[in-house]
Amino acid sequence: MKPSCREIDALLTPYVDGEAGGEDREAVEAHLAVCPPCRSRAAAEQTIRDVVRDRSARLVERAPSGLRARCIAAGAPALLRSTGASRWRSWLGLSIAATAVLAAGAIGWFARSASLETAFAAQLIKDHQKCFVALGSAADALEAAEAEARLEQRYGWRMRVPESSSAEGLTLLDVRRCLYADGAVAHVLYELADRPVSLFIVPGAREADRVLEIMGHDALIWSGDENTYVLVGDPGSSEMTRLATYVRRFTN
Amino acid sequence: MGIDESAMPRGRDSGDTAAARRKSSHASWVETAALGFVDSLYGAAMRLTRNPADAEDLVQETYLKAFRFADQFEPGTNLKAWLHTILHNTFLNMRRQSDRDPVEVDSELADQAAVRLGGDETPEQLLLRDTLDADVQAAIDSLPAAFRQAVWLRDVEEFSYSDIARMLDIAPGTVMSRISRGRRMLYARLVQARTAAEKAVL
Repeated sequence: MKPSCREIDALLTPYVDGEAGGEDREAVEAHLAVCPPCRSRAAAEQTIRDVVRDRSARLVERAPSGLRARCIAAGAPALLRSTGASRWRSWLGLSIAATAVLAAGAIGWFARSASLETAFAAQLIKDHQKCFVALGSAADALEAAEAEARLEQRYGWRMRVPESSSAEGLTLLDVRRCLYADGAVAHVLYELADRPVSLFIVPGAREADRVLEIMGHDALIWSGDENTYVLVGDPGSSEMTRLATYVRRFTN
Repeated sequence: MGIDESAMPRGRDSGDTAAARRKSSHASWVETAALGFVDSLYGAAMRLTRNPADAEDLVQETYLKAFRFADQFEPGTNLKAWLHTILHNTFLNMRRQSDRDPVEVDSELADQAAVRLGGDETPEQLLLRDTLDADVQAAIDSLPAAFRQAVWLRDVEEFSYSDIARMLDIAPGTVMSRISRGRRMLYARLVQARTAAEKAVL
C-alpha cells in the first residue's frame, strides 16, 4: 500500500458504515475514484457488511426456552430483596435450594413444593407485566372466537377463551403463547376496569384450587376438565375473586 | 454461584436518597425490560463460547449480575449495551477462572487476509450474496475472537462504535480496526469457501 492508501484505509470502515464526517468522506471518495485496489477493499467491506446485516435477524440463535425460565428465576431472589416487603417475604419463602432447582431447569409445571409453586407464580406475574408492556396502551378489543382461532391455528390448542363482558367491566385484548414451561402455556390478556389482568391456561395439567398473594398481585389457581388456569392481576382480591367466578363459567 | 462485582460496568454510585426511594421500582423495570434481550445475549454468548452449554451458563450468569446490580443501571442509557457489557466482562472472568488463554488479537492472520484482497471488483461479491446463512455463521465463528466479537456487535447487533468501545473497554479506533479486519477476513474466507464449492460442482 502506498502511504496515501494506508491513510485512506483507516477511514474505509467508518466510510462504509456511513459514519465518516464530511471531509473524511470526500477524501475517501476522491481517492477511491483513482485507486482500484482501495476501491476493491471498500467494495469487499461493503459487501460483507451488507451480507451480514441482511441476515442479522436469522444469525441470532433463539435462546432455548429452558434458558429463559432460568434467567427469570435468576431474577426472583433479586426481586425479593428489592421490594423489602416483609408482608410476603415471610410466606413466599423462596429458598436458595428452590432457586437452585429452578436454575437446574428441573421445573415441571407446578412442582410439589409450595415455595417452588410460588416462584413459578412469580414468573407468571413477570410475564403478565412484560406482555402488557409489550402490548402497549392502544390495544383494541379482541373477539373471543378470533382468540380461540388464533390459539388453534398458531399452536394447535383448542381451548375456550372467556369473552369480554360489559357487566363485568372486562375486555379481552390479546392471546399469545407464554415463554415458560417450554412454551406450553397460553396467555390471555384482559383489561378489568382499566387494570391489566392475565389468564394463563396450562393444557393437560391438574392442580388443586388455591389462591396466592405475591408481588402485590393475586394469583388464583384452579383446574377444569382438561386444563389448569391461573388468573393473575392486581385489582384487589375481591375483584379478582369475582372475576374468577365469571371466568370459571367458561372453563369448567 | 458467587456474584463477582468486577464484571459490572463502571458507573456512578447511586447513593442519594431519592435514588434509593426509586430503587425498587427501577430495579423491577430493569428486570422486566432486560428479559427482552435473552436472544440477543445468547447469540453473542454463542459467538464468544461457540458452545451452547457454555453460552447458556454465560447468559444466566449475566442475568444474575444484571438483576443483582439493577440499581446501577442509569435510566436513559442503553440497557442492551449495558447487558452486553456485563456479558463480555463475565466471559472474560470465566475464561480467567478456567485458566484458558485470554482473548488474543491474531493480527498476523488479519494482515494476510487484508493483503490477499486486491485487484478490481470481482463477481465474487455478487456470489457472496447467495451464501447460505449457516455458511456465514460458520465463517463468523471461524474468525479470531476479537474480530468475531467486533463484527458481531457492529453488524448483527448494530451497536455504535462508542458503545462497543465502552463495552470492550478499548479505544474507538481499535474498535474500527477490529471491525475492518474482521470484515475483510470474513470476506476472504467466504470467497474461498464459495470458490471451493464452485470447483466441486464443476
